[in-house]
Amino acid sequence: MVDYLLILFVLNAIYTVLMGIGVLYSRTVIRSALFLILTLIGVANVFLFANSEFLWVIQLSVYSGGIAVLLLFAGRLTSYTEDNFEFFNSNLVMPVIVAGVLLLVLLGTLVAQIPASTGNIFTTNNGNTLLEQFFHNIWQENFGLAFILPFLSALFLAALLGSVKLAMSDDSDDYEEKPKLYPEETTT
Amino acid sequence: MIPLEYFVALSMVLFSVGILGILTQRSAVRLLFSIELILNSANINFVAFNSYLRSTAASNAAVSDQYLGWAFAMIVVAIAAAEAAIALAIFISLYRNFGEISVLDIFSLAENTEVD
Repeated sequence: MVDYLLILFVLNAIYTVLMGIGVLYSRTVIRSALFLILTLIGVANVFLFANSEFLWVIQLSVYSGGIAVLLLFAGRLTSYTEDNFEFFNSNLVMPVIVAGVLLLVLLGTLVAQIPASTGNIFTTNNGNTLLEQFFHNIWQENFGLAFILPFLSALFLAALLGSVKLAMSDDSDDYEEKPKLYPEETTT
Repeated sequence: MIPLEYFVALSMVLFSVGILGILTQRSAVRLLFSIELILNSANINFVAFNSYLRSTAASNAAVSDQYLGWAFAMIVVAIAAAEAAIALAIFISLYRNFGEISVLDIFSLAENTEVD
């Protein structure tokens, strides 16, 4: 019996990782942002595989919709040239080693933790774990789940107000000394 | 039902890709993209563990316990949105002052600052 759901999940995972690599090594920032949108859609599909339809909708609408548009603006407003972009620069060896060792260690711990009998790593034993105790004490009794959305709204409002204040220019003199859009034309 | 290890493995790979991006990229916007990748890998873990624990927990558990992972995932999404907004403002301010946002060439947030 072939588990088609598992095959779909693996295909979606490969798609997500490939798009994530495309975020790093695409030619321009705009293409990188588009690859990021595809990665976020792949992650949203992972949520769907985990029986979390609500977060699937949230991820598609808020993350790959709203935040991605914000990131597209960030790329579009700030990148005027990509001349110094190299696909494989000389500094790549050490980061690849670091990230590869990190990945191997993570996957090694995952494989080492799988018991041969059950195939499940997180079989809950009876009694509260430390994490459950922590959540029960700190989260549920002192804050409560119902306070998340107002808290997040206040946080996001503060962040938006702060970003508006940051991006606002102090006086109108800034417009006289705007940076040139294409400085390489003036040098030649 | 997909085993939990598949979710964790995908999260690990995505996390490592994000770390690789942070180590290699020089544009601040691409660094922000890498951070988004890392946040998404954390989100996969939250959602997968929530789904797994909900399927194995007792049915008389409190509703707030059953959906705690979703709450954390929503917190991550909101944090990412706030972070993207603030980063966009900082990038625009940097670009206005310096004309570029390569992190190797910017040492200060203030204008007209000479760095030895």
